[in-house]
Amino acid sequence: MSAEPRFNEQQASTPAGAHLSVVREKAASQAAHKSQRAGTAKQARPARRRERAPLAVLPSIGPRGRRHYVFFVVLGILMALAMILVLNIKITQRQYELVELRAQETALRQENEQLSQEIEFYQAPQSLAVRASQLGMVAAHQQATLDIRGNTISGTPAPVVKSENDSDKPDYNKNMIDPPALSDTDAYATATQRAQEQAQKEEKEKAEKEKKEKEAKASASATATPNSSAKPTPSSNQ
Amino acid sequence: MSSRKPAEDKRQTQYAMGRRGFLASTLAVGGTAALGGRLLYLQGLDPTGRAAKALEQRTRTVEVPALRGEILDINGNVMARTVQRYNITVDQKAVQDFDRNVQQDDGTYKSEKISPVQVVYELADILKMKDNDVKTALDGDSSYHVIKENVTPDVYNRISALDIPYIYGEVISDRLYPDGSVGGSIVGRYSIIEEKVEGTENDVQDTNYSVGIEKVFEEELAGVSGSRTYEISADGVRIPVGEEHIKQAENGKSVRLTINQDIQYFAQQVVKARADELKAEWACAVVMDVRDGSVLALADSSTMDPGSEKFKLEDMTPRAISQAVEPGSTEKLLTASAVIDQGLADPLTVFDVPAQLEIDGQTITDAFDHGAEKRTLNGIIADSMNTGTVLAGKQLTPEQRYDWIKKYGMGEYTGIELSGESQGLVSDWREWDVRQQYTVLFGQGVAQTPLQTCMIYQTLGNKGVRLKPRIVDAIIDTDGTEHKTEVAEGIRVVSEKTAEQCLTLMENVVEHSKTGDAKVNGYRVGGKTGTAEAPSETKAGFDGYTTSFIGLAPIEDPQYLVGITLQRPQGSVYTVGATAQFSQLMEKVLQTYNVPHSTTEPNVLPKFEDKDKE
Repeated sequence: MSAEPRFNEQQASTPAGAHLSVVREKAASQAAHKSQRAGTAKQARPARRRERAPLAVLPSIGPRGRRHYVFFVVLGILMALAMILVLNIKITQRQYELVELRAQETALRQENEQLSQEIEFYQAPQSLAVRASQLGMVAAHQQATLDIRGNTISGTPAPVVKSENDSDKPDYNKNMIDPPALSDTDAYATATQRAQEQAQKEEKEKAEKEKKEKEAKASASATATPNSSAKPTPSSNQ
Repeated sequence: MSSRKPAEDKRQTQYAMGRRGFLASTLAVGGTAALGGRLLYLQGLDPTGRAAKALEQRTRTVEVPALRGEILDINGNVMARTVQRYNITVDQKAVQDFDRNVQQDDGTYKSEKISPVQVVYELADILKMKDNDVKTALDGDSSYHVIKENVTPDVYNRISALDIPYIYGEVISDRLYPDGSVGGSIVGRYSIIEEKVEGTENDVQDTNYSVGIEKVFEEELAGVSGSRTYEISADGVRIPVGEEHIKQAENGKSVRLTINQDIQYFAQQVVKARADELKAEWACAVVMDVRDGSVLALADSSTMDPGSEKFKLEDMTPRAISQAVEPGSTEKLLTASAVIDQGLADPLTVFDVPAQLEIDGQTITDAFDHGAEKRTLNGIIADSMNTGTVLAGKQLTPEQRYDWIKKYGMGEYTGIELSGESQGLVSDWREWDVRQQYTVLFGQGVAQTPLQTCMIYQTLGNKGVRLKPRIVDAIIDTDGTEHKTEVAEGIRVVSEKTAEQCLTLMENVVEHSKTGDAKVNGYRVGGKTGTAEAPSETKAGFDGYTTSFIGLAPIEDPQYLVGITLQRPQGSVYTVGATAQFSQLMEKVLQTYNVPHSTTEPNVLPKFEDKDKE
């Protein structure tokens, strides 16, 4: 006996893969062959034929291959989900950053507005005039003009003459217009404070002047001289 | 064969497996189909509108207000602008203790319980209000109550930092006027007042009570507000992938005026000083460029500050356009120009002027005593003689006198882009009585605004072509494109030669004046004084004077016009004029605009036929 697997007759009549039509046809044709040759001698041939039963390709996948396939599919899905998650996180993060930047923009714009307001208050003509007066400046009137083309000067510039008129007469050189009513700027608060200080200073000077005039009159009448003019008054800064 | 059985069994078992498998897969497919169907029903068909309701709940539509445009002076200085402010409000129903995370010295955070009383003190400090006022604001049942209106962003940020959950800040915008009362009545005031709708209990509507440029150019300044629709999450952050519609707001355009804020300030100073000195009812000034009609200043002795809360109604419009007065002697140049243009006289034509003129039963007298004189037209105008003016002017028929007055634009709106203008009053010549037909020749019996009277001199200074006064220089879009307002074509009133001769008459007024108050150092100037009797407002007849001076410089090629008017100044009629003020203001204007000094000598003509009499 050889070592080859032996089929008994029962097995030979039902080959493996019997659910496949190809196999069944072949088995049927072989059975027909076999019944034809039943009378012939040669025992070995049918045995060989039986041994060489047709092999069919099994469609089943090995358990090890199945695991690889599943693993990669699951991994693919997970990666796709992960990417979507990362994308959403990034978008939401940017949205929060955007909110923060908008808040920053608002804060800067408000600061800009506040600074512009302060500047505009200082630039108002009445504020400039008052500040200039407080610094001791006076308005110049007599100007000359320089013609650059002809290199000529027309007019005679002259320094401002200190006016001796009494400070009671309304003088257009002295600011009479109220500061702008921008009451919520620091500039307005400072200006109001400075205006108060200035008013107090002028009150004091006026009182001093009146006192000196009284003294001069008193001394004049006492010494009976015709000189009744008041002493030169301290120049009142406008 | 018996061998078939296993095969059959195998087939049968395979079918048996198939059957279970078939059942399982049917269940799976069926379940999925059921879920899919339900999903389709809920989200696709959505009969109860749940998805729509959810969308509605997270959708917010916010109005994006348009930023109101600015008002600028000719050099771009801002005279009106909008800023962001906040109303601090409280939800009174939610006032209770709350926890605040306070950072300790070592950097860690500790939670402190803050009571409403403490909040009252904190708010009172920041808002600079009395503790009691804040306390009453926090008490109550309303879910919306304003604690303080119009606080700066700085204050709002400090209150936000306190993290009080029932205190909110509402964004509003406020209109600021950086120049205050300088040019205040020109810029006007933006004012929207919530008023009850008539006939309803609680309905309110916003009524626009603006005045000045803020009113006349409302459309350009206001812009169009936009809207922003977005989806918002529970923590108040916008959902980035949600629906969003943005309609951009169109910000308002800016308006640039022809006003020069420095000249405006100086003019206000000059008229205020004079009005205060003479205790006049009011004083006003007009400064204009005669070549294109641009108004550099419309000053009043008392004006409104648009930013302040209180102001008088009469301060809200420049009196130079709103007050119609009898012009008086300044009208004499109108008469002279008419007479010269019609070829009836020229500056050296001599008239026999009596001490006082009797005509048609009417007596016309002058402000000063004199005998019968042979005066040139120049002398008549230089000394402002009513008698001589009537002699010269009676050569015109009343209809002609009326036509000339109308030709110079009297009795009509000047066309300046401001509200509150008065038309003045020129009655039809057929209605003039026997006296009025003569007095109109020297400016009594007609009513004109100071600006209208100035237009006579603008015409004479512009070679006889009358222009429309303009106060708006350009409209500036948000992207910076400027749309300059065109200088409208003028109307030829008198010939160029006539205008030139009138300028000579004006120069002689200044040169022959005894005090020389109108003179400006270094320049040839010309002008005319005006003294009119002011009609009484309470009884028939006159009450006080309206004095004025309108002049041009440099007279050899006029550029600028200054006209000053005083209403009912107190004192002797000889000393209450505006001549010196003209000189002060004109000097300032000429210096500001670097006008070269005059190089020619004044053209002085004789006042009398006999030169020796001067």
